[in-house]
Amino acid sequence: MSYNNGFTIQKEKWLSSFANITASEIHLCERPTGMPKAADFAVVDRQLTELHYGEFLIRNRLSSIAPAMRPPLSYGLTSLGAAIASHALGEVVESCNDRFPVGEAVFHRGGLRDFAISNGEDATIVAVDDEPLDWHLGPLGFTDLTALRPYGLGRIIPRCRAQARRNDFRFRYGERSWWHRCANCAPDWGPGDWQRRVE
Amino acid sequence: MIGSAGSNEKCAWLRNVAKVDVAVNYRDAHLRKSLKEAAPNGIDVYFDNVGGEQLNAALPRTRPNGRIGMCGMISAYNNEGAMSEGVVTLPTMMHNRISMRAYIWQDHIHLWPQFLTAMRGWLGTGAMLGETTVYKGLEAVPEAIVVLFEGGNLGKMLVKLG
Repeated sequence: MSYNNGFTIQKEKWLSSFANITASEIHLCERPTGMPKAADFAVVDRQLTELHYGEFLIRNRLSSIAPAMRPPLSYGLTSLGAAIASHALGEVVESCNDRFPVGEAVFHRGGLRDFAISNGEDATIVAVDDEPLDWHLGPLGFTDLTALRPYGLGRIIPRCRAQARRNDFRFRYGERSWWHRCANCAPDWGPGDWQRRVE
Repeated sequence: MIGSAGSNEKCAWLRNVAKVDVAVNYRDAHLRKSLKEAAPNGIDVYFDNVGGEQLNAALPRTRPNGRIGMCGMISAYNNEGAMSEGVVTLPTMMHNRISMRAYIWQDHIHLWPQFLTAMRGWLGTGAMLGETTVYKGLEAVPEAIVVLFEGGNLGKMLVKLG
């Protein structure tokens, strides 16, 4: 007799073994100083054999190469002789994770390799329409999410000049208030004036 | 609207395809001068992805109560310790009450669904252009990384795998 409390966990989903898959990935062989060289990187093969509970296998379709990858190459966060992390878009081809079923497109951090295994912590399902696939790491992807004014810039800094002016003493007390007459306040240097002083 | 890019080809793209009013090359030796000519009345909003000398040139041009959003500093990444060149014009931030705020994309992950709807619309009408430079195969990755830092890509740098 089994006490499964109504849960129906399929036994084969706890572990999934597949015939050996040779996955290729980009390793860091030497820490670059200054401009990175092609010789700092190498393509290395690795055998993937099985998935454990909660993991899934992704076949990568596109991988991002971003300027922000550069500092970790020199300063520790990427280990020497280890795969380089990068964001990527791939397809789930084998899964032991109910949230990421086979056939879904996922955005994840296991880029710069052809097959990646993820446990879902750093992965999100992407709804891919009939638009070009590279848009999902480009204009519809994470880089443009930051670059867009209403959704990035406009949200995190004052939305308009009026809002930025609200804390300005000239706005609060008026240009010719008693405070201005009494205090020895800074002249309103326009743009360029200060630059002229420097030059 | 002023666009800034690291090569003359990209500046031509900014002028002819993206239709900005003026394009400046941030690797230009006379960046301060060309920025002054590009914005004689100053800058209201500045989105900074370069830092270093470009920030140095843009700060004195920023108007009172100007706003700066910062997300990326490519001029610093190849330097020792990923440190920026000295930015000496910071006092102008105070004189002109400039607000500067930095952020990374993970800060706005909750806005992604909303962003996708809006962006799909803009891409559909052609109001927004999606430029990508795509290299093919894992073997091309080392070359693609080098090209990225030389500034040889136009738009987002990607590698197509399988």
